[in-house]
Amino acid sequence: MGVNPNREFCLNITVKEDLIHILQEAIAAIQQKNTRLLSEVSNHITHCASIFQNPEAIKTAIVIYALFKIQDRGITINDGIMDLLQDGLIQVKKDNNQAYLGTLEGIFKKISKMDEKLALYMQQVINEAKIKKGMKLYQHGISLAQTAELAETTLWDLMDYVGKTKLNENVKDVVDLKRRLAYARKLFQ
Amino acid sequence: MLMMKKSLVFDSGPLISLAINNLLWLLEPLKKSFAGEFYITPAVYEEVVKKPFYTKRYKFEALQVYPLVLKNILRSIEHPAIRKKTEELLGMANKIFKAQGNWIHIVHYGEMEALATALFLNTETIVVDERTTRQLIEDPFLIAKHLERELHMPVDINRENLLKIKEEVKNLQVLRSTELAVCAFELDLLQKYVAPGEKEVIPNISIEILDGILWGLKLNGCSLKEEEIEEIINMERQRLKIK
Repeated sequence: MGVNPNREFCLNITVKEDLIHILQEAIAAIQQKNTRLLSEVSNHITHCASIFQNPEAIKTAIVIYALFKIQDRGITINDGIMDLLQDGLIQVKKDNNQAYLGTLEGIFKKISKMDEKLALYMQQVINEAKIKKGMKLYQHGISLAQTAELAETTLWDLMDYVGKTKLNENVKDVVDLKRRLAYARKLFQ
Repeated sequence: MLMMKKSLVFDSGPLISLAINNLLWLLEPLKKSFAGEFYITPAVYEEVVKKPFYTKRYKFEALQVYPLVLKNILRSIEHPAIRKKTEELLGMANKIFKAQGNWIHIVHYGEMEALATALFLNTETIVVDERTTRQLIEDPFLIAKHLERELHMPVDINRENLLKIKEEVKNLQVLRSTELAVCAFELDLLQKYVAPGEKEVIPNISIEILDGILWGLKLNGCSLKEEEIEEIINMERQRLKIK
């Protein structure tokens, strides 16, 4: 695996290696109809995404999570999507990041059109994938607005989702509630 | 920096929390009580009015925020000095923590624009519901510990940038939509939710309303813990001498 001397157009080597591994695992998981593996693969790439925050890692996490949800529902992932995943793998190996992002967009489009009766469900799957993967970034410590931008979702949707989790229960605060309230009262009363 | 009438600067989160819980109306009476200005930034306006206006799901909420801007209950402010300071703060904040040789971009332009605006206005208070921006102002070391725990790897800290940010924000205090709701309660603004005769049916109805509102804020994304809600309710019970 060579390294393109124009590093600024390349993914960080760790991310590139990770993406290749993950795409290979995802393709295998889909072929074997191994839903659990597909879920694990999606979680792994999200870990990288928090550090490197590049669109390739984040979009890959979203796509794989969406495919996991589809497969989990018992829906067969069609050959068109598999072809795009294989194509994506080739693009990553060749350092064609724009082309790779294009194949991911292609997969989103194919997912939306997979089943006319399930069109709304498929859109919901993609939206949910964006929010779920965004939540992982937030859990890692990235701010909500930054997470919303990276996961291409809205702050409104993220806040709605994060509120229903326990992610905010373990937040450490140096300013305790009493002190914060005492300050607020001075301002308003 | 300008010396101006006292002011609060709002990040997007508290406005979203209040909108989702139908509590935006509180801002007008709270502002009267505050006797100062409430400011938002262009990024906040984009997030809470423009973007949701073009969605189906949050269009109605956007249309409830917009009149507050029209009536100057929320004043939008922009200035070249704010833009410059935003870029500075963003550059600093997103080059404090490093993992695997990569700077971790922990905050967004919009969040730093709110900070920059607070500094420009020489205001002491910013209203932020989300955790990371709040920790950046109050104790950035907490973010490092959190990142290490969650990423399962060492996180390097650029102390120079960390100390620069701490120096910039040292006079800033953070409030959440939570504290605004509690103040509204203590100002009796929430009495409007008590219908005639309700007190006889639901004992301590006022406290139940406050409890409901706090849970509403929490469940819609305010960084508020369950134990904090309990603490607030106990505090208010004691204040009102309710068992």
